[in-house]
Amino acid sequence: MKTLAKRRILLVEDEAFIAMELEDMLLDAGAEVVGPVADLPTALAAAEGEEIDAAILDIMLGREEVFPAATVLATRQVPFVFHSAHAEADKLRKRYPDAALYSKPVDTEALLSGLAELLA
Amino acid sequence: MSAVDPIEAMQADPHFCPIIGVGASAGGLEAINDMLGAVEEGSDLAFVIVQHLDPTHVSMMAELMDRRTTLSVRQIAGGETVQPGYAYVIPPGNSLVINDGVLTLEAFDEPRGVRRPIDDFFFSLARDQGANAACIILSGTGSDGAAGLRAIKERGGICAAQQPDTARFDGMPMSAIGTGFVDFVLPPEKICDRIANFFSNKEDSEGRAGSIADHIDAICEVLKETVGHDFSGYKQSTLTRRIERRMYVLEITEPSDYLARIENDTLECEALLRDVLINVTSFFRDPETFKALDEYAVSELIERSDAKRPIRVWVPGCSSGEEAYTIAILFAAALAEQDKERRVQIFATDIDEQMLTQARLGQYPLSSLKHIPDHLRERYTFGTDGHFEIDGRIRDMVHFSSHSLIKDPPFSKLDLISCRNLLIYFGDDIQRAVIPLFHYALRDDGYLFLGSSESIGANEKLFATVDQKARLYKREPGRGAYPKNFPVTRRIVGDSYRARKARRRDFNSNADPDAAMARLLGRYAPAHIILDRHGDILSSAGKLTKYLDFPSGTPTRQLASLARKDFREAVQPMVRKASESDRRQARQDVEVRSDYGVQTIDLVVDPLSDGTKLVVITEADAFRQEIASDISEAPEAIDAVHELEEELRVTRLRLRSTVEDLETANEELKSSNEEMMSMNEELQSSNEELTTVNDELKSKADQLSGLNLDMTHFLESTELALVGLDSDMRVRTFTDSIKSIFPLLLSDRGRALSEVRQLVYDDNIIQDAKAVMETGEKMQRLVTSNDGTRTYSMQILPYRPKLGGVHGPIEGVTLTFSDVTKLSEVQTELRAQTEKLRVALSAAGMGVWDFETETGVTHVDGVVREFFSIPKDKTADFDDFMNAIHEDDRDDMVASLERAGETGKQWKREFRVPKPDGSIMWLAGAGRVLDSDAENARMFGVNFDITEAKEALAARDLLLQEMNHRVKNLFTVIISMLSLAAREIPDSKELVKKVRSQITALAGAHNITQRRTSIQSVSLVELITTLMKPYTSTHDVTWQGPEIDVPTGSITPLGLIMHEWSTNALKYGALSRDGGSLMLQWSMQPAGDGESELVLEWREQGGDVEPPKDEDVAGFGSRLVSLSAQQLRARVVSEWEKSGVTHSLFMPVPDAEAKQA
Repeated sequence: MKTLAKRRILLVEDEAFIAMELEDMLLDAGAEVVGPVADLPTALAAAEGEEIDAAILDIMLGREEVFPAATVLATRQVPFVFHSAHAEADKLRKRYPDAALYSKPVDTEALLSGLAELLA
Repeated sequence: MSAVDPIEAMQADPHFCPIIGVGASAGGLEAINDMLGAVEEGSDLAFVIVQHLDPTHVSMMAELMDRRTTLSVRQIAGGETVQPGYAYVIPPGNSLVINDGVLTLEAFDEPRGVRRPIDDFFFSLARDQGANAACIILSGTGSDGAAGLRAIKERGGICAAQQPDTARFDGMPMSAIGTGFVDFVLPPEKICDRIANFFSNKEDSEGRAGSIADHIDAICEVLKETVGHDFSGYKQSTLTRRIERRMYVLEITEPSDYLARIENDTLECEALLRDVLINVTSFFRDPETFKALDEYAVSELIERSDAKRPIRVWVPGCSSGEEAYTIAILFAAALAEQDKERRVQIFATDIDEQMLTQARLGQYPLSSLKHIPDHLRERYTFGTDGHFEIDGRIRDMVHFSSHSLIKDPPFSKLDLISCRNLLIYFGDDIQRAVIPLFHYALRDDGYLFLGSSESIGANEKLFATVDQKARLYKREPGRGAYPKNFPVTRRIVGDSYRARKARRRDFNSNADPDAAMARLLGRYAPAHIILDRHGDILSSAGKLTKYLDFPSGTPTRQLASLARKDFREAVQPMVRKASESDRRQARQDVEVRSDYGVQTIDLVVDPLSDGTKLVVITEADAFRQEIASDISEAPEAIDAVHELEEELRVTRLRLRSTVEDLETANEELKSSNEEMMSMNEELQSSNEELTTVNDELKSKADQLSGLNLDMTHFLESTELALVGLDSDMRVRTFTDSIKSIFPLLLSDRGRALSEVRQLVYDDNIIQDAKAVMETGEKMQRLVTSNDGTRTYSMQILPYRPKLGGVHGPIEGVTLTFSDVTKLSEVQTELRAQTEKLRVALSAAGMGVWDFETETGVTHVDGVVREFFSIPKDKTADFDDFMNAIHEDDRDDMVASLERAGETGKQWKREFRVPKPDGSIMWLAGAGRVLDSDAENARMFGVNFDITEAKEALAARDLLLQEMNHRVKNLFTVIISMLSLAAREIPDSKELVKKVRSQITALAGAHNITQRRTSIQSVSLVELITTLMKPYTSTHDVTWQGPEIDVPTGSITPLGLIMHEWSTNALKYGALSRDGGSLMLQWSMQPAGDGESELVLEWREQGGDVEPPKDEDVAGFGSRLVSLSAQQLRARVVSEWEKSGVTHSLFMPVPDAEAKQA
């Protein structure tokens, strides 16, 4: 069983409730949470500077899109998944073919196991 | 001209089609048209038409004739070879000859007025074509053609004349018929058919000659009976040919039928006679021979002659007399040269009465003149109106009389016999007998002059040759023997054959059956003599020797010559008296002395009804014998006789002088007559020409009349309104329909158009008409009627009549008016509709285009130009559009247009046009191809601006997207909410309560977005109001602050934060006890960088407040607040004081949002 134990996961999500839930779940899974981060500047800083094993990225942060941070992560070869209410799957797949998209509301279990897969 | 063997001529092998000469004059055009009009298609005859024409007048004859016949009619230009199926017409001012079938024009020798073109041509045609020729004489005055047709006949051709009663002028036909040589007399339309039959019969005949030979004797017998001449001695072949020709003419195939015909038809006998006798002669025939004659015979004879004895010449077979006159001229000239005066008597004889009459006249056609040497011509001939005459002196030298070489005794004591081209007609027997006859008739050393195809045969003993070539011989001395076997039968002189025959028949019928009667007359009745009008004895019976005495010398029938003196002296006066009074004369006791005595007689002279006289001699007494010498006459008687003789002499003298006076008067009258006739001939000539011209003009006038009628009908009936003006702008012609424009009447012709009332409103018509006249360029425009109800299209055209196929100068103008009112109305309607459409389109912001699929050229209106930024003056094409369209849309555009072009289906597209200011304009285009099969098919369509709609759509999409997003988000939030709550609150009822209140607050917060048009921001006041309102009814809650918009995305976090604070306040804070109050205050502080900071203060007052315990800080609520604040990029500071807690929220707000709602 893939675990997220001892993994450092960057959590980018601007909706407080959703951020809280995900944070709790990650913590329950034994992971360490970087964030939750709610805006792009902070996300960029984290993506560049923090030690991260994987990331969960919400796409719309207020009015900004998370993609600059995603690109940084991709450059750092840090795997990530998208977790969003946006449904432009094709576009995402084109730009980030390796990143899975989980549409809100999500089956959190699935999200976490998917993340674990990435890290395996 | 050399002598022609008629046999040769008739056998001439025609290698041309039959050539027919046609002569016509006044009234001829009509006759020719009728005649040629009856010619069948494909005829192989050829016609040459000679007509008397005015030489100064251009003739249209050929053209006029050509229309009326299946033949091709051409005016002769010269050099044409005659072809079958053609008619050749002589042009004015020319004479015509034919040689070897080729027509040549020549100038006239003679002055105008005395020309005989028809004769001239017929002579030429006869000479050239012989038996292949024919001639036709049609209407005309005068006698042109009568001489020429003889030549045609002589050479074996045939002749036809127009039936005089069908001819407008019968002069020429009558003259022709008068020659007796015309074979057919028919109305014009029947002539050609007969002639065609003649020629085809001729072709068809084979070996007919043989069967004719069988009948020749019988035919000659009939002829002899009828006309009194025996042709059995004539050359068989000649006779055969002549008979044959008559048969062709009459269309008789069997000689036996012809024999039957002449037995019963006297006219046919005469026709055959004429044909047989035909013999054309001319002056100085074979001129070299006459030179020889002149040199040898004429000069010698004159030498030998003396003043007392006349030089006697005989010309047998003289025909129309040319030869006789030739010899006369020669003698006259020679005598004049030698300055001698001698009497010359020339006896010219022939059996052809008609020829003799003509010869006596001494008039010949001018064409005959050419043969006479000039110097002689001048001296011995004089020209008159169309012919020339032999001088009277010459005429007096020649005596013409009827004499048959075969039957009648010859003349005697002759110095010269000229017998040329007569013997060739005779058979061998006669020929053999004639030369000795001539020998007998000539004096010693007399001359014989024969024709070039004749000779003296075996009679060298009788004649010595003087000039063989000239056929001139001299009589060898020796006694001439009268040829015994020469038939001499009774000769009847003077009257026509028919009368004579009738008489003979009468007489014979009297004599024949009754022998007893003969006996009675001969023996018992008194002796009698029957005399004719001239005093010749017709017959006699009884003993007449006492009364008549036959003198020596020339046999005669004259009673006066035969009667003995006494008898003569008695009977002559009685005969005279009987003639004058037409009454019986009687005398008694006339003594007639004869050789042996005296016989007394009673004498009666009784004129009979038929013009003859019966002289009855009754012996009154016995014969008294006496001896001649016993004659003693009473002086009285002698005196009486002398007196009578004296009286007689005086009377004779008086008579002679009277006669001379009469003759002189006669001559003068003749002279005046000749002058008048000459004037008449000239007038006739002009008349003929004028009539010909008149015919042509009439024909033209008829045509013109017809055309004029057509024109009038057209002008009246056409609906086209037309008026023609001349160069002075005067009315020349107009149609009826013009009346609605210009009310013209026929009397307005010649009036200036400017004077005519005008029913259309236009002042420039005349001016423009003048301009058209000058420039020759047509003009067209619209004019309206004065009352405005009608519109006309007016055309002004130059009037340039064609002459001979070429346009001449401009002679006027033609104005036409077409009523285009209807059209005009339609046009106006169309314009109105178009305008409406344009307005509608303009209002709709639609541009219209017309795209040519082949060339790409597009016709566009202003709207389209604006859409695609195409300059005003440029012709739009496909590239202009492509360049204007957004590059991403171009390929699609092209493909879709092509598809539409091929399929003919509607084309619809939306595309972007980037504007110069950077914005994007969305255009829609729709169109359809018209007639996609055509080469340059066109697509018509519209463009319209859909930018607004598009933007609205885009905005809507965006909204929907956002809504979607938000909804998803909210669900997620709620789920998270649930999950979180589940961790914290074990009791499900409490859990539900908590979550419900949270959800409700959230729902309330989001409600406010509904009321906003913008989805980007919400009013803070509304948000706070919505969130806090539920508490106001039960608690002291107030809020206050400026109207500020906050981003929509902040609703949830703000809502959550304030809900948390509210819950806390309710649970532990100011709102949990009485007297507690809550006050919210906010304001905006500028923060630089296009942002402001919202400072929101949550001040609770009253009630005990305990600061939260540590676990609470990390509890769900505070976690939520801190995360939410993070979401807002806000800072939250909470201060707990005794009076209550104060939360402060510091949230950045973009300036764009921070505006009044």
